[in-house]
Amino acid sequence: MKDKIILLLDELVTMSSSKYTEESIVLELDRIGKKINKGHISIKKLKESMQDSRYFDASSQMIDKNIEISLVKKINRIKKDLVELKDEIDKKKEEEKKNNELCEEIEKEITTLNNLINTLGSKKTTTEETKKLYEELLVDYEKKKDEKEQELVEARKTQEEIAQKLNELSQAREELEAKEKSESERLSDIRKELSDDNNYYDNASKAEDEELYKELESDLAHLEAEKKELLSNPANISNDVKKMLDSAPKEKILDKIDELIEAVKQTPYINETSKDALDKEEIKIRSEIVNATKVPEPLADVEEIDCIGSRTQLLNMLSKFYTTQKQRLDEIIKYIDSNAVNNIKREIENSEKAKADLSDKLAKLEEELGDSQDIELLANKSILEKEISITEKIIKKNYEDLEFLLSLSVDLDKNIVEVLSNKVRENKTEIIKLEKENSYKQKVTNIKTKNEEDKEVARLKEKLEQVRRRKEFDKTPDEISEEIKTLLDKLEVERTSQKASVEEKIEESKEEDIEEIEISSEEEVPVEETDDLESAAPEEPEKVKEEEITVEDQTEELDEEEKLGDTIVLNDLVDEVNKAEEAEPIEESTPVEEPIPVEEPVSVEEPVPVEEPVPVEEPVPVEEPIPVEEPVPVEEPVPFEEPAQADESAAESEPEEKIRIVRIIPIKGAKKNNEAPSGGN
Amino acid sequence: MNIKENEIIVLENSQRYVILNSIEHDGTLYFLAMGITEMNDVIPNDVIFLKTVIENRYLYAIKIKDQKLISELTTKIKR
Repeated sequence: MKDKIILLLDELVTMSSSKYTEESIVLELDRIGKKINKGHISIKKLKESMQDSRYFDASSQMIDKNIEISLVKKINRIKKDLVELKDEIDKKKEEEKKNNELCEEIEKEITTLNNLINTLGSKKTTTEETKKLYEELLVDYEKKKDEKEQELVEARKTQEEIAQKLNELSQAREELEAKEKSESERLSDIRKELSDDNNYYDNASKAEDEELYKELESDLAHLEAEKKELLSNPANISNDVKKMLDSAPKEKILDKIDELIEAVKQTPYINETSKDALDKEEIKIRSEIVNATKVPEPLADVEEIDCIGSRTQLLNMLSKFYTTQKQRLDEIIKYIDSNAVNNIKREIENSEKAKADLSDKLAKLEEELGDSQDIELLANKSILEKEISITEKIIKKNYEDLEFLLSLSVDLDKNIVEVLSNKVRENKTEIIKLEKENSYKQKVTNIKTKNEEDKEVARLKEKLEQVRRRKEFDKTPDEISEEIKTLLDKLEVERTSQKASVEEKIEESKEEDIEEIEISSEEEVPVEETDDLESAAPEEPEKVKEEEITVEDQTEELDEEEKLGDTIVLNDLVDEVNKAEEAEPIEESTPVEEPIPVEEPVSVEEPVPVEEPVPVEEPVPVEEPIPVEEPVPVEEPVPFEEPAQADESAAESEPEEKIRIVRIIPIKGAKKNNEAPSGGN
Repeated sequence: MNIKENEIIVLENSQRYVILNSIEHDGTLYFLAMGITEMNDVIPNDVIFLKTVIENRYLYAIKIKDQKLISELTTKIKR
């Protein structure tokens, strides 16, 4: 009975698809338990060590305190030295003062002596006696003066020595004061450091430990969760039930079994009883696997906007456009450099030649004109001068055009053609770069798609495996549970009966013993309870063995069917795919649309070939003369001299012929016959 | 309003002259002019000196025929 229950429990564990066996889960629990203990110990040790005192650097504080004491002593000593030095300086100053007074006194004495000596020297002697007296006085004074001068020298020497000493002392005092200042600052820093204990804490180390503590706690939490998961694993619960079978009360065993059943029920499809439903599910999953395997890769690309491709196309198009424009500009430059410039040069040469001819003619005409009063020659001269002037203007204009074309050629070449060439080069570089990036992107996309595909297929295969596993079992967990409970009831009954029979036998034996004691019987009656139990047990394993064989056979048969099933389903799907491909061939990569051609920019006009130079600046605006009938009225009547007054002499000689001017046409040059009017007729 | 160099004048009698030069003489402005055809071709032997007057709001050209004056004007222009 117990073995049968054990077998059913094993079946439940198998149904749950637990990755653990009863043995492995015990080992795993043991391993995790050890790890948890270790974790607890580590946390405890760390927590104990994380006392504030651990991070407090007492030795540094002590050192600083010692430094403080020594600095205080040092500063006091310096102060004492300074006081001594000050006293000494005061003394020296007093000495200096006295010495100065001495010097002044001596100097006064010397001055007095000098005055006396001078007075004695200028004194007129009357008698020999007085003369002798004066001489003696003079000698005496001079001697005194010498002595005083010697004293003065010494006093001054002393004065210098004192000054030097004072200087030295002042210097020493300055040094000491500077030292005192620096030491005081140092003392202040040390005291500031000592004033706050936080300055002696190793905060970095503390933070590290805290971080470690958190990590350990996190690890421990993970382990606990893992342990909890293992404890609720069907293999573990089954183990518990087996242990309880011998001794635990039935209610507790039943609770545990319920727990086991709940855990087993978490397995997908395990509660499904209909074989048809499972078969359908299996076919559905197989189909999904096939679909997942043939996910068309380009699909993702079609949905995405291909910025790289689009940019590459644009760059290609722009490069083409730049190249075309560059070629056109090259042609223009070539035309300017060869044709246009040459034409203008030729025109300039011709104009200059014409100007030279005209100048020659003018010279000849002037020569011919000489003293002559021929107004026709004069008119011709005037015309020639005008022609020369016009020719000069034309030459100037030609030079301007030449300059313009040359600068245009240079500008086009330098500023546009070069820019376009650079742009084309830049575009090529960018295209190469983009192609590289695109290939990388393709690779990434492929890998990504493949990984996603693999994950999906793996998930579906796992699902398929769950369905297949379910199909291996005829019963549901609830049914097995019911069976176990029935068996438990029987086991209970059996136990009770066995217990009762044992008690009965004990009673009987007791009675017999009493009788034996009473009758003094020699033989003992053997208790056969173990035999009964053992004899019942062997029968069950045999049955189980038979069942196992059946299960194995069924499994083998199922495997064969599954294999066949796999083949059939896959073949069907392959056929479907082939049909679908025939009906709708997989499109090759979406053809890249022809880029919309950018409108050709307004083409630079073909340079107009330089025409034959016009002999005059502007074409003569030969306007249609206004009909004579309508005379042009003069807009404003200008006060004008009376004609009679203007040309009195002419009036005298011959009556003037007045002809009305009906039209005035402004010109810049008059068209003339090819041949310049020569002088004379 | 008066005529000036580089202008074509059309006279009432349809004669056309191009004004070549102008010169002031004794307070009067004289013009050296050459005849031109309707096609603006010069007529080399039709060269005159003229002056202008305004009468009744009309501008008139007066051809100079005084040889002395012509001689003086020619000399002046030659300078």
